[in-house]
Amino acid sequence: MPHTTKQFRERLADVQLGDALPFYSRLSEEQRFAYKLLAPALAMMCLIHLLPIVWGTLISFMGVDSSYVQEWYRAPFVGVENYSYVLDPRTVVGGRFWFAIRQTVIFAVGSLVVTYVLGLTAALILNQKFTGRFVARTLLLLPWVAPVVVTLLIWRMMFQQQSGIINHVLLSIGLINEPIYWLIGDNTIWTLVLTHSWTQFPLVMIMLYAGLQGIPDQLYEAASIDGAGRWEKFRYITFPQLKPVSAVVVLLVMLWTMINFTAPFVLLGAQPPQAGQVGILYIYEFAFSNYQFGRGAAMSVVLFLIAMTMAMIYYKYLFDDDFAEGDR
Amino acid sequence: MSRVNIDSLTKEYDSAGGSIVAVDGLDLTIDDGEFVVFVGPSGCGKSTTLRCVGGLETVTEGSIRFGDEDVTDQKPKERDIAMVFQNYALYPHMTARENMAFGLKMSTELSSEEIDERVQATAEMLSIEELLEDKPKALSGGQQQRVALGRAIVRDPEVFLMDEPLSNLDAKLRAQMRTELQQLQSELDVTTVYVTHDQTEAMTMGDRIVVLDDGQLQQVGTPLECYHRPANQFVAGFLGSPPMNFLRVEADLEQQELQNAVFTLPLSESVATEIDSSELVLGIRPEHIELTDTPETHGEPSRLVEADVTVTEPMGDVTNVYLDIGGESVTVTTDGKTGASPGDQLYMHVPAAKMHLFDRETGEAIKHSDEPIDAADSPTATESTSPAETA
Repeated sequence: MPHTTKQFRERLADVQLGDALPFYSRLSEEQRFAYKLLAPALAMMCLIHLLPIVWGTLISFMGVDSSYVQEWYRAPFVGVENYSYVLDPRTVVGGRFWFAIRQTVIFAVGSLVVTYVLGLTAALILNQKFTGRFVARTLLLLPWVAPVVVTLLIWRMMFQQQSGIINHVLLSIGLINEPIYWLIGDNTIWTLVLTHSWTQFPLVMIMLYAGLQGIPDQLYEAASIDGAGRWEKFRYITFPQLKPVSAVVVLLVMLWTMINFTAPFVLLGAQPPQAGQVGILYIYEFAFSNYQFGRGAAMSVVLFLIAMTMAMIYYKYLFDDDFAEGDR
Repeated sequence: MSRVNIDSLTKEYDSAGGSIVAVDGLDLTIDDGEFVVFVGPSGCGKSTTLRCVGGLETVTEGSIRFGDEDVTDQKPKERDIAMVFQNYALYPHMTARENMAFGLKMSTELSSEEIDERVQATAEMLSIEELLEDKPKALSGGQQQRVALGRAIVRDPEVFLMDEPLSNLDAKLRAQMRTELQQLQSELDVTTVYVTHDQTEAMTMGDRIVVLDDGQLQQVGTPLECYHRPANQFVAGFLGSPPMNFLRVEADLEQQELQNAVFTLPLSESVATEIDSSELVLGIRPEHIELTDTPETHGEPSRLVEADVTVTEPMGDVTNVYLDIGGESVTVTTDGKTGASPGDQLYMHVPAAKMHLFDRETGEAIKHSDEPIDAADSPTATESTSPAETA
């Protein structure tokens, strides 16, 4: 066993990666060492993320169905047939898939708006000086720290049409006249948005809060002197200064929501009402209850591409608009 | 433009162990169009006072008036002031133009064309037209400084507040901006309060300087007044570089002399009558001491003190000679051609007229040097807030 860092470095230097990785020979000694240290983590990433992506993409071009569950590699290559099947809006599956994509976008954008507004409001409140600020911060983080399944189950109970507390409260303060169906029918997408936002907003809050703390006081003082009021200070100082962190938050929340499985599954179950059937849930139901793995994989790839495209458009817009301008 | 009246201003901060008094009963009147420099060491309350005038700090006690208007409890935006901050505090996400226009946009009803015109005119005055479309990040420190200045000037305010605006610049640029700022201020003729810890800026820029220490006013006066007629030992030691020399002495009023373990200096009768304490500090500026190595031929041998040279600092035009007198260090500024070198034994001449005396306990000045303090070269004409009489 090597005992010192030096020995460790020497031992690592013996590891020959140059043959396997062509770019490796162009790296400096320092970078090579870094890659060796990164290797175990990278290997895990490949196993967990890269491999399924490649595998899934591969399957999406093959006719994997119930007869090939045991030996998927024996399934015939079918070209883009899976894609044309699931993307054709005239078929039942295609129609439902496109509807699910639409619901996914509503889910992502809706959650994004609610999460950002909630998170920003909470961050702005936390950024004020008041007694009990630290207690408040801990409490506000709870929805994110608590196990998400537990949180979702509690929300499901609260959203029950007959026994749920939400309808009870809304009825008793007179906002509604009869109980609302939250978990079935067209409302489910909004129930999803609200619940998912509840579990996600503390992350946004803490990131924006960190961003707020980084804004120099002097900018606000200069703005006071310049005659800006509270709203103007927010509009012209706080908001622009939060731009870099907001950009990251928006992208993360949007992508995470598009591929979120837990919230719709726990809240609405494997056979959700159609309005609540977001893409990922539909893919799961379609692929696993019908043993249609090839077509399911094709849907996954489509969802993946949509998410990636949105992310790329977003980033392009962001960089064109000078990403660094909020920097200090 | 307006006159600024500060009336027994007190500012206390709460802290864990009670309250900290940052400004303690400050009284000051700043005339219309006057350039006043607040100077003092860190924590003396100069910035706090400025921030109270700007409305960035609430006032614990006392009042502030602009002209006849009491602004003590007014928000900054109601006060018609502009401020230049030490690190400029430019809005990083706005271009120089937007930075300059922001105040006008927020506080006036001007149309965007009018705002644009004013920004353009100010930019021309400061020769920063080329920089208007750049964001602060793309500008050098000196350019940011100018934009910050422009942002203040374009507002055409009643009062300019400047909080150490030059201290982030390099020495050469600072000297250049110093003169430029003075010119600008006299052209614009706007009442200006300028805070600095740099005594060179204080001496060179202000119509009057306000020396503060520990939250309390030490002296208000023209730069030369404060330099040559310091109200107390603090002011005397704070202004001047190298600083004034202080030597502990006892006054023997019967013999009419000042004594210390190493030397005895005669005391004139007129000065002796002013003294009511025997525990004194003798102050003498480095440039007022003459050095000689031939005491025999000196015209006033009774005022010579023997000293050993420890260090010399040739600066080119002048040389600072550090002397040791019975364990106490004395600095003498001589012309650059001095032949003194470490180890030499010399005699220093302490002219009676240039000597300052301070009460050792209170620090109050008892006697001043007779250096003239106004342009007309008359040693007595100027009114001074210093409590001490000139000798």
